[in-house]
Amino acid sequence: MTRNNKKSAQRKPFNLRDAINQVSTRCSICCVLPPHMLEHIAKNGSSEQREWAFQTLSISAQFRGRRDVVGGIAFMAPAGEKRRTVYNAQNGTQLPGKLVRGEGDPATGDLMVDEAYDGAGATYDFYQEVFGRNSVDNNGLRLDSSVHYNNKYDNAFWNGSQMVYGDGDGKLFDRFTKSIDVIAHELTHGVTQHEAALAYSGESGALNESMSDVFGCMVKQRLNKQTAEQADWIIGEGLFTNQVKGVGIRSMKAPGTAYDDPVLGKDPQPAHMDKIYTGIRDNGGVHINSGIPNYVFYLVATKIGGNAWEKAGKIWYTALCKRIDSKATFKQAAETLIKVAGELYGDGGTEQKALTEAWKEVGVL
Amino acid sequence: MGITRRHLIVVIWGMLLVFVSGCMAVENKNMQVSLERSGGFAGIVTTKTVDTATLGTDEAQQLRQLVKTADFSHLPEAIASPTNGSDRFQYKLTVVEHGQQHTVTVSETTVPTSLQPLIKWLSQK
Repeated sequence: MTRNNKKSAQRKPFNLRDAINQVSTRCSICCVLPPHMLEHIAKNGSSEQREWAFQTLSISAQFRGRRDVVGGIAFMAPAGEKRRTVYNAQNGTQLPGKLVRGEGDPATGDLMVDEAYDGAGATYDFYQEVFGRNSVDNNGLRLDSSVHYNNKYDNAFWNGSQMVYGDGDGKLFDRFTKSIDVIAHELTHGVTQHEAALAYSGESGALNESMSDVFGCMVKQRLNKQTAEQADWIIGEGLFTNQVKGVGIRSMKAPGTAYDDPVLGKDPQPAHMDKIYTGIRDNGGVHINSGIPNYVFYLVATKIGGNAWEKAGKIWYTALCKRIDSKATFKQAAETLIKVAGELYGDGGTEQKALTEAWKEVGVL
Repeated sequence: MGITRRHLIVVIWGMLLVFVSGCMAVENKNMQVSLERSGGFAGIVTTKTVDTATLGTDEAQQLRQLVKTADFSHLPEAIASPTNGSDRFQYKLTVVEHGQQHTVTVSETTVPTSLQPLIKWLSQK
Protein backbone atom coordinates (compact mmCIF):
# COMPACT_ATOMS: atom_id res chain seq x y z
CA MET A 1 0.00 0.00 0.00
CA THR A 2 1.47 3.41 -0.97
CA ARG A 3 1.60 6.36 1.33
CA ASN A 4 -1.02 8.16 -0.78
CA ASN A 5 -3.43 5.31 -0.43
CA LYS A 6 -2.84 5.26 3.27
CA LYS A 7 -3.59 8.94 3.44
CA SER A 8 -6.76 8.68 1.43
CA ALA A 9 -7.85 5.72 3.50
CA GLN A 10 -7.41 7.80 6.61
CA ARG A 11 -9.16 10.79 5.13
CA LYS A 12 -12.14 9.00 3.72
CA PRO A 13 -13.55 5.93 5.44
CA PHE A 14 -14.39 2.93 3.30
CA ASN A 15 -17.77 3.38 1.72
CA LEU A 16 -19.54 0.15 0.86
CA ARG A 17 -21.93 1.70 -1.62
CA ASP A 18 -19.14 3.44 -3.56
CA ALA A 19 -17.11 0.25 -3.68
CA ILE A 20 -20.04 -1.72 -5.00
CA ASN A 21 -20.95 0.89 -7.55
CA GLN A 22 -17.37 1.09 -8.76
CA VAL A 23 -16.89 -2.62 -9.02
CA SER A 24 -20.28 -3.63 -10.28
CA THR A 25 -20.33 -1.05 -13.05
CA ARG A 26 -16.80 -1.95 -14.06
CA CYS A 27 -17.10 -5.67 -14.25
CA SER A 28 -19.91 -7.92 -13.19
CA ILE A 29 -17.94 -11.13 -13.05
CA CYS A 30 -14.34 -10.50 -12.07
CA CYS A 31 -13.90 -10.50 -8.37
CA VAL A 32 -12.03 -7.38 -7.19
CA LEU A 33 -13.34 -7.14 -3.69
CA PRO A 34 -11.90 -9.68 -1.28
CA PRO A 35 -14.29 -12.47 -0.28
CA HIS A 36 -14.72 -11.26 3.31
CA MET A 37 -15.98 -7.92 2.04
CA LEU A 38 -18.33 -9.62 -0.38
CA GLU A 39 -19.59 -11.74 2.47
CA HIS A 40 -20.23 -8.57 4.44
CA ILE A 41 -22.19 -7.11 1.53
CA ALA A 42 -24.02 -10.38 1.05
CA LYS A 43 -25.09 -10.23 4.68
CA ASN A 44 -25.81 -6.56 5.20
CA GLY A 45 -26.25 -4.79 1.87
CA SER A 46 -29.53 -3.80 0.24
CA SER A 47 -31.40 -6.47 -1.67
CA GLU A 48 -29.71 -5.54 -4.96
CA GLN A 49 -26.29 -5.37 -3.37
CA ARG A 50 -26.75 -8.67 -1.63
CA GLU A 51 -27.79 -10.29 -4.86
CA TRP A 52 -24.77 -8.93 -6.68
CA ALA A 53 -22.37 -9.92 -3.89
CA PHE A 54 -23.85 -13.38 -3.67
CA GLN A 55 -23.54 -13.89 -7.41
CA THR A 56 -19.96 -12.70 -7.43
CA LEU A 57 -19.10 -14.96 -4.53
CA SER A 58 -20.92 -17.82 -6.14
CA ILE A 59 -19.16 -17.36 -9.46
CA SER A 60 -15.72 -17.10 -7.93
CA ALA A 61 -16.39 -20.10 -5.73
CA GLN A 62 -17.48 -21.98 -8.82
CA PHE A 63 -14.27 -21.02 -10.57
CA ARG A 64 -12.35 -22.40 -7.67
CA GLY A 65 -14.53 -25.49 -7.79
CA ARG A 66 -15.65 -24.88 -4.24
CA ARG A 67 -19.34 -24.22 -4.08
CA ASP A 68 -19.27 -25.28 -0.45
CA VAL A 69 -17.57 -21.97 0.35
CA VAL A 70 -20.72 -20.12 -0.63
CA GLY A 71 -22.99 -22.65 1.02
CA GLY A 72 -21.34 -21.98 4.36
CA ILE A 73 -22.10 -18.27 4.52
CA ALA A 74 -25.04 -17.28 6.68
CA PHE A 75 -27.01 -14.70 4.71
CA MET A 76 -29.22 -12.33 6.62
CA ALA A 77 -32.07 -12.02 4.16
CA PRO A 78 -35.20 -10.56 5.69
CA ALA A 79 -37.70 -13.30 6.57
CA GLY A 80 -40.24 -13.95 3.89
CA GLU A 81 -38.46 -12.15 1.12
CA LYS A 82 -39.04 -13.94 -2.16
CA ARG A 83 -36.56 -13.41 -4.97
CA ARG A 84 -36.95 -15.16 -8.30
CA THR A 85 -35.19 -14.88 -11.61
CA VAL A 86 -36.02 -16.78 -14.76
CA TYR A 87 -33.60 -17.23 -17.64
CA ASN A 88 -34.10 -18.42 -21.20
CA ALA A 89 -31.44 -20.93 -22.26
CA GLN A 90 -32.67 -20.43 -25.86
CA ASN A 91 -32.47 -24.15 -26.58
CA GLY A 92 -28.79 -24.27 -25.74
CA THR A 93 -27.03 -25.90 -22.81
CA GLN A 94 -25.20 -22.88 -21.42
CA LEU A 95 -26.62 -22.00 -18.02
CA PRO A 96 -28.26 -19.89 -16.86
CA GLY A 97 -28.93 -18.19 -20.24
CA LYS A 98 -30.54 -14.83 -20.92
CA LEU A 99 -32.30 -13.10 -17.99
CA VAL A 100 -35.96 -12.69 -18.96
CA ARG A 101 -37.88 -12.11 -15.73
CA GLY A 102 -36.89 -10.84 -12.30
CA GLU A 103 -38.84 -10.56 -9.06
CA GLY A 104 -41.89 -8.37 -9.46
CA ASP A 105 -41.61 -8.14 -13.26
CA PRO A 106 -44.86 -8.61 -15.20
CA ALA A 107 -45.69 -11.82 -17.06
CA THR A 108 -43.70 -12.25 -20.26
CA GLY A 109 -46.21 -14.21 -22.33
CA ASP A 110 -43.72 -17.07 -22.65
CA LEU A 111 -45.63 -19.90 -20.97
CA MET A 112 -42.54 -21.66 -19.67
CA VAL A 113 -41.01 -18.49 -18.25
CA ASP A 114 -44.22 -17.57 -16.47
CA GLU A 115 -44.92 -21.08 -15.18
CA ALA A 116 -41.37 -21.37 -13.82
CA TYR A 117 -41.78 -17.99 -12.11
CA ASP A 118 -45.22 -18.76 -10.64
CA GLY A 119 -44.27 -22.32 -9.66
CA ALA A 120 -41.12 -21.19 -7.83
CA GLY A 121 -43.26 -18.56 -6.09
CA ALA A 122 -45.91 -21.06 -5.00
CA THR A 123 -43.21 -23.40 -3.71
CA TYR A 124 -41.45 -20.59 -1.85
CA ASP A 125 -44.79 -19.61 -0.26
CA PHE A 126 -45.49 -23.21 0.74
CA TYR A 127 -42.18 -23.58 2.59
CA GLN A 128 -42.53 -20.11 4.13
CA GLU A 129 -46.15 -20.36 5.24
CA VAL A 130 -46.20 -24.00 6.36
CA PHE A 131 -42.72 -24.48 7.83
CA GLY A 132 -41.47 -20.90 8.23
CA ARG A 133 -38.61 -21.67 5.88
CA ASN A 134 -37.00 -18.80 3.98
CA SER A 135 -36.13 -20.29 0.58
CA VAL A 136 -34.00 -23.27 -0.40
CA ASP A 137 -31.24 -22.54 2.14
CA ASN A 138 -33.55 -21.01 4.77
CA ASN A 139 -31.59 -17.81 4.26
CA GLY A 140 -33.38 -16.14 1.41
CA LEU A 141 -31.37 -17.67 -1.43
CA ARG A 142 -32.53 -16.34 -4.80
CA LEU A 143 -34.49 -18.90 -6.81
CA ASP A 144 -33.04 -19.22 -10.29
CA SER A 145 -34.75 -21.14 -13.08
CA SER A 146 -33.75 -21.65 -16.70
CA VAL A 147 -36.31 -22.68 -19.30
CA HIS A 148 -36.04 -23.84 -22.94
CA TYR A 149 -32.94 -25.82 -22.01
CA ASN A 150 -31.41 -27.85 -24.82
CA ASN A 151 -33.35 -29.07 -27.84
CA LYS A 152 -36.57 -31.06 -27.33
CA TYR A 153 -35.18 -31.98 -23.96
CA ASP A 154 -37.36 -34.48 -22.06
CA ASN A 155 -36.31 -33.53 -18.57
CA ALA A 156 -36.17 -31.11 -15.68
CA PHE A 157 -33.35 -31.06 -13.14
CA TRP A 158 -31.66 -29.31 -10.25
CA ASN A 159 -27.99 -28.72 -11.08
CA GLY A 160 -26.84 -28.00 -7.53
CA SER A 161 -27.70 -24.31 -7.64
CA GLN A 162 -30.71 -23.78 -9.91
CA MET A 163 -33.74 -25.35 -11.60
CA VAL A 164 -33.63 -26.25 -15.29
CA TYR A 165 -36.53 -27.20 -17.59
CA GLY A 166 -36.71 -28.70 -21.06
CA ASP A 167 -39.39 -28.10 -23.71
CA GLY A 168 -40.15 -31.82 -24.08
CA ASP A 169 -40.04 -33.53 -27.46
CA GLY A 170 -43.70 -32.76 -28.19
CA LYS A 171 -44.45 -36.36 -29.15
CA LEU A 172 -44.22 -38.07 -25.76
CA PHE A 173 -43.51 -35.23 -23.37
CA ASP A 174 -44.94 -31.75 -23.08
CA ARG A 175 -43.00 -28.87 -21.46
CA PHE A 176 -41.59 -29.67 -18.01
CA THR A 177 -42.93 -26.53 -16.33
CA LYS A 178 -46.50 -27.72 -16.90
CA SER A 179 -46.94 -29.42 -13.51
CA ILE A 180 -46.49 -27.43 -10.33
CA ASP A 181 -45.35 -30.56 -8.49
CA VAL A 182 -42.41 -30.92 -10.92
CA ILE A 183 -41.27 -27.39 -10.07
CA ALA A 184 -41.70 -28.06 -6.34
CA HIS A 185 -39.88 -31.39 -6.83
CA GLU A 186 -36.84 -29.64 -8.33
CA LEU A 187 -36.79 -26.89 -5.72
CA THR A 188 -37.02 -29.50 -2.96
CA HIS A 189 -33.80 -31.07 -4.29
CA GLY A 190 -32.25 -27.76 -3.28
CA VAL A 191 -33.80 -27.96 0.19
CA THR A 192 -32.56 -31.54 0.63
CA GLN A 193 -29.09 -30.48 -0.50
CA HIS A 194 -29.02 -27.90 2.30
CA GLU A 195 -30.54 -30.20 4.91
CA ALA A 196 -30.22 -34.01 5.03
CA ALA A 197 -28.01 -33.97 1.89
CA LEU A 198 -29.13 -37.50 1.02
CA ALA A 199 -26.50 -39.18 -1.18
CA TYR A 200 -27.92 -39.58 -4.69
CA SER A 201 -27.66 -43.33 -5.21
CA GLY A 202 -29.24 -46.50 -3.90
CA GLU A 203 -31.67 -46.24 -0.98
CA SER A 204 -30.50 -42.80 0.22
CA GLY A 205 -30.92 -41.59 -3.37
CA ALA A 206 -34.44 -43.03 -3.51
CA LEU A 207 -35.18 -41.23 -0.22
CA ASN A 208 -33.85 -38.01 -1.77
CA GLU A 209 -36.17 -38.53 -4.76
CA SER A 210 -39.08 -39.37 -2.51
CA MET A 211 -38.60 -36.17 -0.47
CA SER A 212 -38.93 -34.22 -3.72
CA ASP A 213 -42.15 -36.05 -4.64
CA VAL A 214 -43.55 -35.77 -1.09
CA PHE A 215 -43.09 -32.00 -0.92
CA GLY A 216 -43.96 -31.63 -4.61
CA CYS A 217 -47.35 -33.26 -4.11
CA MET A 218 -48.03 -31.27 -0.93
CA VAL A 219 -47.43 -27.98 -2.77
CA LYS A 220 -49.97 -29.10 -5.36
CA GLN A 221 -52.50 -30.33 -2.79
CA ARG A 222 -52.31 -27.10 -0.81
CA LEU A 223 -52.80 -24.99 -3.95
CA ASN A 224 -55.79 -27.16 -4.90
CA LYS A 225 -57.09 -27.07 -1.30
CA GLN A 226 -57.26 -30.85 -1.23
CA THR A 227 -57.13 -33.13 1.77
CA ALA A 228 -55.13 -36.36 1.64
CA GLU A 229 -58.33 -38.25 0.76
CA GLN A 230 -59.30 -35.87 -2.06
CA ALA A 231 -55.89 -35.66 -3.73
CA ASP A 232 -54.95 -37.80 -6.76
CA TRP A 233 -51.33 -38.31 -5.54
CA ILE A 234 -50.07 -38.20 -9.13
CA ILE A 235 -46.66 -36.67 -9.83
CA GLY A 236 -46.16 -34.97 -13.18
CA GLU A 237 -49.74 -34.92 -14.34
CA GLY A 238 -50.00 -33.42 -17.82
CA LEU A 239 -46.35 -34.00 -18.66
CA PHE A 240 -47.21 -36.77 -21.10
CA THR A 241 -48.83 -35.76 -24.38
CA ASN A 242 -52.16 -37.39 -25.22
CA GLN A 243 -50.22 -39.92 -27.32
CA VAL A 244 -49.08 -41.66 -24.15
CA LYS A 245 -51.18 -44.07 -22.15
CA GLY A 246 -50.70 -42.74 -18.66
CA VAL A 247 -52.01 -40.29 -16.08
CA GLY A 248 -48.61 -38.96 -15.02
CA ILE A 249 -45.05 -39.95 -14.23
CA ARG A 250 -45.55 -41.50 -10.79
CA SER A 251 -48.39 -42.46 -8.50
CA MET A 252 -47.74 -42.16 -4.79
CA LYS A 253 -51.08 -43.80 -4.03
CA ALA A 254 -50.41 -46.83 -6.23
CA PRO A 255 -46.74 -46.95 -7.30
CA GLY A 256 -46.25 -48.80 -10.58
CA THR A 257 -49.59 -47.79 -12.11
CA ALA A 258 -48.97 -44.27 -13.47
CA TYR A 259 -48.45 -45.36 -17.09
CA ASP A 260 -48.43 -48.43 -19.29
CA ASP A 261 -47.55 -47.48 -22.81
CA PRO A 262 -46.37 -49.38 -25.92
CA VAL A 263 -43.48 -46.95 -26.46
CA LEU A 264 -42.49 -45.99 -22.91
CA GLY A 265 -43.25 -49.32 -21.27
CA LYS A 266 -44.78 -49.74 -17.85
CA ASP A 267 -44.25 -47.67 -14.72
CA PRO A 268 -41.50 -49.65 -12.91
CA GLN A 269 -42.06 -48.35 -9.37
CA PRO A 270 -42.40 -50.89 -6.57
CA ALA A 271 -44.67 -50.36 -3.55
CA HIS A 272 -43.03 -53.10 -1.49
CA MET A 273 -39.49 -54.26 -0.63
CA ASP A 274 -40.26 -57.59 -2.37
CA LYS A 275 -39.91 -55.80 -5.69
CA ILE A 276 -37.09 -53.38 -4.95
CA TYR A 277 -34.87 -52.69 -7.97
CA THR A 278 -31.24 -53.70 -7.43
CA GLY A 279 -29.65 -52.88 -10.80
CA ILE A 280 -27.30 -50.00 -11.66
CA ARG A 281 -29.58 -47.98 -13.93
CA ASP A 282 -30.71 -44.57 -12.74
CA ASN A 283 -28.03 -44.37 -10.00
CA GLY A 284 -29.33 -47.61 -8.56
CA GLY A 285 -33.00 -46.93 -9.23
CA VAL A 286 -33.44 -43.64 -7.38
CA HIS A 287 -36.55 -42.79 -9.43
CA ILE A 288 -37.76 -46.38 -9.24
CA ASN A 289 -37.42 -47.32 -5.57
CA SER A 290 -38.72 -43.92 -4.43
CA GLY A 291 -42.09 -45.64 -4.91
CA ILE A 292 -41.63 -47.37 -1.54
CA PRO A 293 -41.13 -44.28 0.69
CA ASN A 294 -43.66 -42.39 -1.49
CA TYR A 295 -46.28 -45.01 -0.71
CA VAL A 296 -45.41 -44.79 3.00
CA PHE A 297 -46.09 -41.05 2.93
CA TYR A 298 -49.42 -41.62 1.20
CA LEU A 299 -50.41 -44.29 3.77
CA VAL A 300 -49.45 -42.08 6.73
CA ALA A 301 -51.13 -38.93 5.35
CA THR A 302 -54.40 -40.73 4.62
CA LYS A 303 -54.33 -42.61 7.92
CA ILE A 304 -53.89 -39.36 9.88
CA GLY A 305 -56.42 -37.66 7.60
CA GLY A 306 -56.99 -34.01 6.75
CA ASN A 307 -54.37 -31.93 4.99
CA ALA A 308 -51.19 -33.89 4.30
CA TRP A 309 -48.93 -30.90 5.00
CA GLU A 310 -50.23 -30.33 8.51
CA LYS A 311 -49.03 -33.40 10.40
CA ALA A 312 -47.45 -35.91 7.99
CA GLY A 313 -45.72 -33.00 6.22
CA LYS A 314 -44.37 -31.66 9.49
CA ILE A 315 -42.97 -35.06 10.46
CA TRP A 316 -41.22 -35.44 7.10
CA TYR A 317 -39.94 -31.86 7.12
CA THR A 318 -38.53 -32.18 10.64
CA ALA A 319 -36.81 -35.43 9.71
CA LEU A 320 -35.42 -33.91 6.50
CA CYS A 321 -33.88 -31.03 8.45
CA LYS A 322 -30.64 -32.74 9.35
CA ARG A 323 -32.24 -35.59 11.28
CA ILE A 324 -32.04 -38.28 8.60
CA ASP A 325 -28.48 -39.35 7.92
CA SER A 326 -27.11 -38.50 4.46
CA LYS A 327 -26.39 -42.17 3.77
CA ALA A 328 -29.58 -43.49 5.37
CA THR A 329 -31.15 -46.75 4.25
CA PHE A 330 -34.95 -47.06 4.12
CA LYS A 331 -34.85 -48.76 7.52
CA GLN A 332 -32.77 -46.01 9.12
CA ALA A 333 -35.01 -43.32 7.62
CA ALA A 334 -38.06 -45.20 8.92
CA GLU A 335 -36.62 -45.29 12.44
CA THR A 336 -35.82 -41.55 12.35
CA LEU A 337 -39.29 -40.65 11.05
CA ILE A 338 -40.95 -42.78 13.75
CA LYS A 339 -38.83 -41.12 16.42
CA VAL A 340 -39.68 -37.65 15.09
CA ALA A 341 -43.40 -38.50 15.03
CA GLY A 342 -43.13 -39.44 18.70
CA GLU A 343 -41.34 -36.20 19.56
CA LEU A 344 -43.90 -34.07 17.75
CA TYR A 345 -47.14 -35.86 18.57
CA GLY A 346 -46.33 -38.19 21.44
CA ASP A 347 -44.89 -41.70 21.69
CA GLY A 348 -47.50 -44.30 20.93
CA GLY A 349 -49.82 -41.69 19.43
CA THR A 350 -51.95 -42.15 16.30
CA GLU A 351 -49.32 -40.43 14.14
CA GLN A 352 -46.44 -42.61 15.32
CA LYS A 353 -48.56 -45.75 14.98
CA ALA A 354 -49.51 -44.76 11.43
CA LEU A 355 -45.81 -44.50 10.56
CA THR A 356 -44.85 -47.84 12.12
CA GLU A 357 -47.73 -49.60 10.36
CA ALA A 358 -46.93 -48.04 6.99
CA TRP A 359 -43.23 -48.99 7.08
CA LYS A 360 -44.29 -52.52 8.05
CA GLU A 361 -46.79 -52.66 5.20
CA VAL A 362 -44.07 -51.93 2.61
CA GLY A 363 -41.77 -54.55 4.15
CA VAL A 364 -39.10 -52.18 5.49
CA LEU A 365 -39.75 -53.01 9.14
CA MET B 1 -10.25 -94.33 -58.97
CA GLY B 2 -13.56 -92.71 -57.96
CA ILE B 3 -14.05 -90.44 -55.01
CA THR B 4 -12.99 -92.15 -51.85
CA ARG B 5 -14.51 -91.56 -48.47
CA ARG B 6 -11.32 -89.78 -47.44
CA HIS B 7 -11.61 -87.36 -50.35
CA LEU B 8 -15.18 -86.62 -49.39
CA ILE B 9 -14.28 -85.80 -45.77
CA VAL B 10 -11.51 -83.45 -46.91
CA VAL B 11 -13.91 -81.64 -49.25
CA ILE B 12 -16.58 -81.33 -46.57
CA TRP B 13 -14.04 -80.01 -44.04
CA GLY B 14 -12.80 -77.53 -46.63
CA MET B 15 -16.30 -76.27 -47.36
CA LEU B 16 -17.01 -75.96 -43.65
CA LEU B 17 -13.82 -73.96 -43.16
CA VAL B 18 -14.75 -71.56 -45.97
CA PHE B 19 -18.25 -71.16 -44.54
CA VAL B 20 -17.07 -70.49 -40.97
CA SER B 21 -14.39 -68.02 -42.01
CA GLY B 22 -16.98 -66.30 -44.21
CA CYS B 23 -19.28 -65.96 -41.22
CA MET B 24 -16.46 -64.61 -39.11
CA ALA B 25 -15.56 -62.08 -41.78
CA VAL B 26 -19.15 -60.83 -41.76
CA GLU B 27 -19.09 -60.64 -37.99
CA ASN B 28 -15.82 -58.75 -38.08
CA LYS B 29 -17.12 -56.29 -40.59
CA ASN B 30 -20.19 -55.19 -38.61
CA MET B 31 -20.48 -53.06 -35.52
CA GLN B 32 -23.39 -52.88 -33.13
CA VAL B 33 -23.81 -49.84 -30.93
CA SER B 34 -26.47 -49.35 -28.29
CA LEU B 35 -27.37 -46.40 -26.11
CA GLU B 36 -29.43 -46.87 -22.99
CA ARG B 37 -30.68 -43.78 -21.21
CA SER B 38 -32.00 -44.05 -17.66
CA GLY B 39 -32.78 -41.61 -14.86
CA GLY B 40 -34.02 -38.09 -15.44
CA PHE B 41 -37.08 -36.72 -13.64
CA ALA B 42 -39.27 -39.39 -15.25
CA GLY B 43 -36.85 -42.26 -14.65
CA ILE B 44 -37.95 -43.91 -17.90
CA VAL B 45 -35.44 -46.19 -19.62
CA THR B 46 -35.04 -45.83 -23.38
CA THR B 47 -32.72 -47.96 -25.52
CA LYS B 48 -31.52 -47.45 -29.09
CA THR B 49 -29.52 -50.04 -30.94
CA VAL B 50 -27.95 -49.63 -34.36
CA ASP B 51 -26.05 -52.12 -36.49
CA THR B 52 -23.80 -51.08 -39.37
CA ALA B 53 -25.23 -54.10 -41.26
CA THR B 54 -28.58 -52.35 -41.51
CA LEU B 55 -27.29 -48.81 -42.04
CA GLY B 56 -26.49 -47.18 -45.38
CA THR B 57 -22.81 -46.90 -46.32
CA ASP B 58 -22.58 -43.24 -45.33
CA GLU B 59 -24.28 -43.71 -41.99
CA ALA B 60 -22.23 -46.79 -41.19
CA GLN B 61 -19.11 -44.80 -41.95
CA GLN B 62 -20.31 -41.93 -39.73
CA LEU B 63 -20.98 -44.29 -36.85
CA ARG B 64 -17.54 -45.92 -37.10
CA GLN B 65 -15.94 -42.51 -37.20
CA LEU B 66 -17.86 -41.35 -34.10
CA VAL B 67 -16.82 -44.48 -32.17
CA LYS B 68 -13.23 -43.90 -33.29
CA THR B 69 -13.34 -40.19 -32.31
CA ALA B 70 -14.56 -41.17 -28.85
CA ASP B 71 -11.66 -43.63 -28.57
CA PHE B 72 -14.41 -45.76 -27.15
CA SER B 73 -12.51 -48.95 -26.42
CA HIS B 74 -10.16 -47.02 -24.14
CA LEU B 75 -12.85 -45.29 -22.10
CA PRO B 76 -13.34 -46.60 -18.54
CA GLU B 77 -16.37 -48.79 -17.85
CA ALA B 78 -17.75 -46.27 -15.37
CA ILE B 79 -17.08 -42.56 -15.52
CA ALA B 80 -17.54 -41.05 -12.07
CA SER B 81 -20.18 -38.39 -11.70
CA PRO B 82 -20.12 -35.40 -9.35
CA THR B 83 -22.32 -35.53 -6.27
CA ASN B 84 -24.23 -32.29 -6.83
CA GLY B 85 -27.32 -32.11 -9.00
CA SER B 86 -30.39 -34.31 -9.27
CA ASP B 87 -32.62 -35.78 -11.98
CA ARG B 88 -29.86 -35.95 -14.59
CA PHE B 89 -29.79 -38.68 -17.24
CA GLN B 90 -27.46 -41.66 -17.02
CA TYR B 91 -26.14 -43.25 -20.22
CA LYS B 92 -24.90 -46.76 -20.83
CA LEU B 93 -23.18 -47.24 -24.17
CA THR B 94 -22.24 -50.62 -25.58
CA VAL B 95 -20.16 -51.24 -28.68
CA VAL B 96 -19.73 -54.73 -30.13
CA GLU B 97 -17.02 -55.12 -32.75
CA HIS B 98 -14.65 -57.92 -33.78
CA GLY B 99 -16.55 -60.18 -31.41
CA GLN B 100 -15.58 -57.95 -28.51
CA GLN B 101 -17.88 -55.92 -26.33
CA HIS B 102 -17.14 -52.77 -24.35
CA THR B 103 -19.59 -50.90 -22.12
CA VAL B 104 -19.30 -47.41 -20.69
CA THR B 105 -21.66 -45.95 -18.06
CA VAL B 106 -21.63 -42.19 -17.67
CA SER B 107 -23.76 -39.38 -16.25
CA GLU B 108 -25.09 -36.68 -18.53
CA THR B 109 -22.97 -34.21 -16.56
CA THR B 110 -19.64 -35.94 -17.16
CA VAL B 111 -19.81 -37.12 -20.78
CA PRO B 112 -16.31 -36.55 -22.23
CA THR B 113 -16.28 -34.03 -25.10
CA SER B 114 -15.03 -36.72 -27.46
CA LEU B 115 -18.05 -38.92 -26.65
CA GLN B 116 -20.72 -36.23 -26.97
CA PRO B 117 -21.13 -36.44 -30.77
CA LEU B 118 -21.76 -40.22 -30.60
CA ILE B 119 -24.46 -39.80 -27.93
CA LYS B 120 -26.06 -36.98 -29.86
CA TRP B 121 -26.02 -39.00 -33.10
CA LEU B 122 -27.57 -42.05 -31.43
CA SER B 123 -30.17 -39.95 -29.57
CA GLN B 124 -31.40 -38.59 -32.88
CA LYS B 125 -31.74 -42.00 -34.49
